[in-house]
Amino acid sequence: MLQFLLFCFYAFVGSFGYCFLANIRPRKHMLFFASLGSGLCWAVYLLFNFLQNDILQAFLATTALTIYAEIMARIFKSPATVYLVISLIPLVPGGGIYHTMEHCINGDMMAFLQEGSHTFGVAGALALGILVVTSVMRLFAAAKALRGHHPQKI
Amino acid sequence: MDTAQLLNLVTDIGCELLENGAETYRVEDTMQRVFHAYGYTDADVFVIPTCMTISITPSHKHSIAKTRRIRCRRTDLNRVDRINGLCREICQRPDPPEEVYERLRAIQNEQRYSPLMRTAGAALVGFGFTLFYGGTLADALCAALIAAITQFLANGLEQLGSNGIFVNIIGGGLIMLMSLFFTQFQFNRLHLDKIVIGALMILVPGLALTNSMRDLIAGDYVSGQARLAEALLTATAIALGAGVVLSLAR
Repeated sequence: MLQFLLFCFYAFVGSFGYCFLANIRPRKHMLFFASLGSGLCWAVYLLFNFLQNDILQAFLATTALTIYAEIMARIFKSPATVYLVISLIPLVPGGGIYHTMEHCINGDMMAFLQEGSHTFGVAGALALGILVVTSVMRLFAAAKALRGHHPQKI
Repeated sequence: MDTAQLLNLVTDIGCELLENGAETYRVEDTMQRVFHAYGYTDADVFVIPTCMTISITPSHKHSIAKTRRIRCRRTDLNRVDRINGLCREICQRPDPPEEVYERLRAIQNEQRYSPLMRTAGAALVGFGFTLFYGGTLADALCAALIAAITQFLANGLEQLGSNGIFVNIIGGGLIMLMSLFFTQFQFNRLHLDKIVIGALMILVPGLALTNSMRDLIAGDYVSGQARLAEALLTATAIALGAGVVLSLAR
């Protein structure tokens, strides 16, 4: 349990640092809530550990964090991208890219292709997660617009 | 109200959004909304990551157009949020353009984080993610130092107007070189892979990947593809830089 929280905290710390690179200011508690998203998304990832499938886990975590980003965007009236970009960082397959490169250098073509396609799979899962949630959000916005309200910004 | 002045104002707003990392959809939508707020319902905006074209038709006798080439792009999400807020205000209460211009200038003059703060941020990224990927505390401290040095040099390169791919190749190579240097000493049994992965996190193309997906969903295929290419090229550049150094060292 402690281990579980510790890794979420590491993700939080790393993303907090990333906020400085993306110039996110403490205004509207953005600094805190954007980094919190990454801790939450890692918690979701670890919760689905029993699936033993990191591509599926990455997909579920991205789905959860995109929902989180959209909710935060509505609450604080700021673009969802702000929260999404920062929170997504722990899921970016940095390790996959590194190991793919390492196998390539070692001349181990089988491992290179295997690791490479797996890394692509994880990146694709992130893309799909964002795609699904954002598409659903757009449907909601369109439905709202049809009922005569102003279209909501996504 | 002067139509040309409004056109310039909206172009500046859109340009500011696009340069600082907003999605194509948001830029187009915001500009259109501002035109609507001032009563120009016949306005067309076309935006891709490197260029925007705006045309409005004040009367059916003539129309005016403007093109703005976007050259510098960076990530400043605070400014995107501020301008987004400014446009919300405009849509609720369209103030005269001079007043809006003043507020836009105030946003443009807002302080960014200093290079020192960004270097500290990079150190935190390296520290956090090395632990996150299962490194030890010694690994994490090493990665923090490496990330900070790399960020410091990347800041300098960006000020010289160097392109993103070159910065990433150099950054990837530098991180690998310094990690190899540290692990050579074998203090406390450092883990090379954990240090490199943690430190490389400062270079990953998070914004390009996120925005390309959001653009593709919104149906902006040209922008989506351009940004996807940016994300893939950045990842390749990082791996290339690190790979060249690693293969030379072996």
